[in-house]
Amino acid sequence: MTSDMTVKTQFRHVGSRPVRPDGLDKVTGRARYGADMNLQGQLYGHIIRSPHAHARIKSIDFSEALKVPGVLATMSGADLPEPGEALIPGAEIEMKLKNVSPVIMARDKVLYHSHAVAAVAATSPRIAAEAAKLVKVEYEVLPAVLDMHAALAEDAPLLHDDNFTVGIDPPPEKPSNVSVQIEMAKGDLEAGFAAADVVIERTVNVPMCHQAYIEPHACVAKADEKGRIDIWCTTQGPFVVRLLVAEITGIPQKDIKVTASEIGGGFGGKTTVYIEPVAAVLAKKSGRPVKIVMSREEVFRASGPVSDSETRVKIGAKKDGTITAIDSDMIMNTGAYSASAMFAGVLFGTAPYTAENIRSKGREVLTNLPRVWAYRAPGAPQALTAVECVVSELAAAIGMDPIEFRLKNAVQEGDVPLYGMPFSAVGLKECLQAAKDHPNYQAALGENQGRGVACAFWINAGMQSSASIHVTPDGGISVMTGSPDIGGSRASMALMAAEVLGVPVETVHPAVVDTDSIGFCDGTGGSRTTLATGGAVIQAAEKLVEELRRRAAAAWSVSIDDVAWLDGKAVERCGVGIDELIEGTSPVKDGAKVLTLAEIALTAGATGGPLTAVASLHAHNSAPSFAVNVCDVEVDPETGKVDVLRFTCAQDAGKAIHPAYVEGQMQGGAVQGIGWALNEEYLFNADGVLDNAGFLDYRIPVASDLPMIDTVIVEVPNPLHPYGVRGVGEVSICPPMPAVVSAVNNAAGTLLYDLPMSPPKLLAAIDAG
Amino acid sequence: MQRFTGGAREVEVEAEDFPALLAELCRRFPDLGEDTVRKQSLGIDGMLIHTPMLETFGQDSQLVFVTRIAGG
Repeated sequence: MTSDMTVKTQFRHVGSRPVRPDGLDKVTGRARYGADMNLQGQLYGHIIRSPHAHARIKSIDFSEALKVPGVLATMSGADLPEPGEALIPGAEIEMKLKNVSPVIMARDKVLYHSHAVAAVAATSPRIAAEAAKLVKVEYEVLPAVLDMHAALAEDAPLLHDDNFTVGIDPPPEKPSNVSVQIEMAKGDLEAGFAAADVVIERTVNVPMCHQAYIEPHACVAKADEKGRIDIWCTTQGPFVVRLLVAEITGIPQKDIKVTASEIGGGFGGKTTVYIEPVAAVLAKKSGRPVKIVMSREEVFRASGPVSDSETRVKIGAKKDGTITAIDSDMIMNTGAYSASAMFAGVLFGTAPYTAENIRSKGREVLTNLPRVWAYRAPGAPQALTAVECVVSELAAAIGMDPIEFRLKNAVQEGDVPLYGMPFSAVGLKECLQAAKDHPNYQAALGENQGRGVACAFWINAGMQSSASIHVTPDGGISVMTGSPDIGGSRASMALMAAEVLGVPVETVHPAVVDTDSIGFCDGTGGSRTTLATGGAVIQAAEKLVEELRRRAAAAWSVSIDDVAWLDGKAVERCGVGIDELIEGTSPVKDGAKVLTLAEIALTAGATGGPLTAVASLHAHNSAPSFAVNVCDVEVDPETGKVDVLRFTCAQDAGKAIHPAYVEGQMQGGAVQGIGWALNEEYLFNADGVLDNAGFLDYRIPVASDLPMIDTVIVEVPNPLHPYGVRGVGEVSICPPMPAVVSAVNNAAGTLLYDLPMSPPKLLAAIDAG
Repeated sequence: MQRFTGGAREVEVEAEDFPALLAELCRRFPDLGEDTVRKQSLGIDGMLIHTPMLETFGQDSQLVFVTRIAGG
């Protein structure tokens, strides 16, 4: 397989910044989010959650709850099919149903505090909540393990008696709390360290945090007399919801329709389900629609947070700045079921560098904490934070500028990262140079101020997408996809359709439709939507242009080859080459016939019927992204408070379809990374109960905490994509943490690598000297 | 996968397409098993294919198995 793709470089619409099509609805409150959907006669579901971090469920008694007037249905894990050892077919990665189904509703054991145990549906939220209190659940409390080191102990209580670590040869005979381990290596590590003039080794701890999307999970499910289920919900992937609800409940996919609402943030956290299967089962049992909305507290306690990790990194370098060896060993917390992104951490932590001698190890550890889930570039921020902090220290140790040090070791086209696939054209060096050239990098630093630099990598995905385009009789364009718009994809789809069709972008109406109305789309995640769903839009638009030319040719009784498509019009070539017409090197001949898109659309009924085109694809043309951040901070030595003074992001977008949205992705990732570095963390008490399950105590950055996040879009085109597009949604969260950590340590004169660098922790490090 | 290949990182294989590749790898490394291979993405001359069931290869194609990674 080879690509002879020609990457387009001249655009009329792509690269412009039209007003976002969803903006007005959002600022006026008209946009309908998950909790805004209501159906006549709906019930309200309430989920009963475990008060224990680890316990065996001895019995569940609904009898008293069912006596409450208005309670119409109940459910427990017994209402879901036994998962056995089945894999979920068609999932993005291998997922065992037994690691997914019990998160929705526990079966024989609860494995974390707030684990779902049972549910009731009633005619009002108050009745449902009161009835839930009457459900009697008898537990046998078991000892819990709440951190990774405790879970790794030889005599640690086991979460799963049948968990035998995968990745050990020969396979272990005893179960443990390590679900999987991996080791990747290349070169000669020992020789690499022997060749180094400086070797630095650190252990970096990144805390468990949450994606902190503002909109909680919400859904309504309706079952009809034939057992067909309609679900409205907030999600990054309605087809993912359809798949998971089917697998978890046993309802066939063909009987499930899912409609995605407007989404108030997801960041990976809405690429799975928590309440939709419960609502579907309760709706089937009650014969009434059932609505479930998670409270903020439930979202924090019982949706999937982000893995904490501990990574020991040792890196050697020569005095000239050449990295000679990298050795990394990570443990990553997955909570109660295997779901962490440890593999990505092991594979990608060293990806920015050309070092020839690398070993990267990882273990995924089970604990009695909520099952973790994805957060932008899952696994990479934790690993890159460890590597990048040490890289910055090495640069300082040999007296080299941190960007120059990285430029000396940065990968480029042809280099082979640890995961084995040679890079095509990539923009790391261009990002480093852009960061170095930015005025912020020249700004003078004052007392108690420091600067940090970090770079980062994310692989990006392609996967499956579909799009359809319809032309209204007056020449309007409807573009439909099944990819929820979490970061501006509707605007990007409209721009790409307008580019191919040669029409004003304002005439293109982009929409996200339900799973019955469009071909399969993988979820909006993996930084894939603009590339893959956009690719489907481009292909559908190209098919439509072909059809428009065919209609014009028929009207003029000429061959389709004699018709060119220029600026939204069919134009008779009259012997002039298509390329010359498109490029404008030859003008349209006097007297050449012309039909506008609207004119063709108006007579479509008489020339072959409605104008419509569809495209479905499995995108194989994704390409990785790199990003570089520079952060300046000031530390208050009296209080340990950190102020971010300047923050600069340079990121390779390949080609920015809508630059304002790309900048938004960069700024959003930066802010989330700053929060993770300085404040955000899950705080559990000794019983495994989350102590800060709300935004008052779980501190995310707000606008007043931050300076302007300055952005530089670097465009090194993806050679595999017709417009050069790369994913932009995830890599932006990878460099902020190490950039902030290095900046703070440089400002405070500390070597604090236990995140978050909250004021008390930083003050203690300063006081310790 | 190296656990099942006796530590071999790179092998040369004659195969025109993925089914032939799968058969040859499983013949050469009986412990590998079709499932282990099918669970991987496959990089083919720089393109990363999530589910490469029907892919064909060129004369000197460079193939790289990559663990499937979920995005967020």
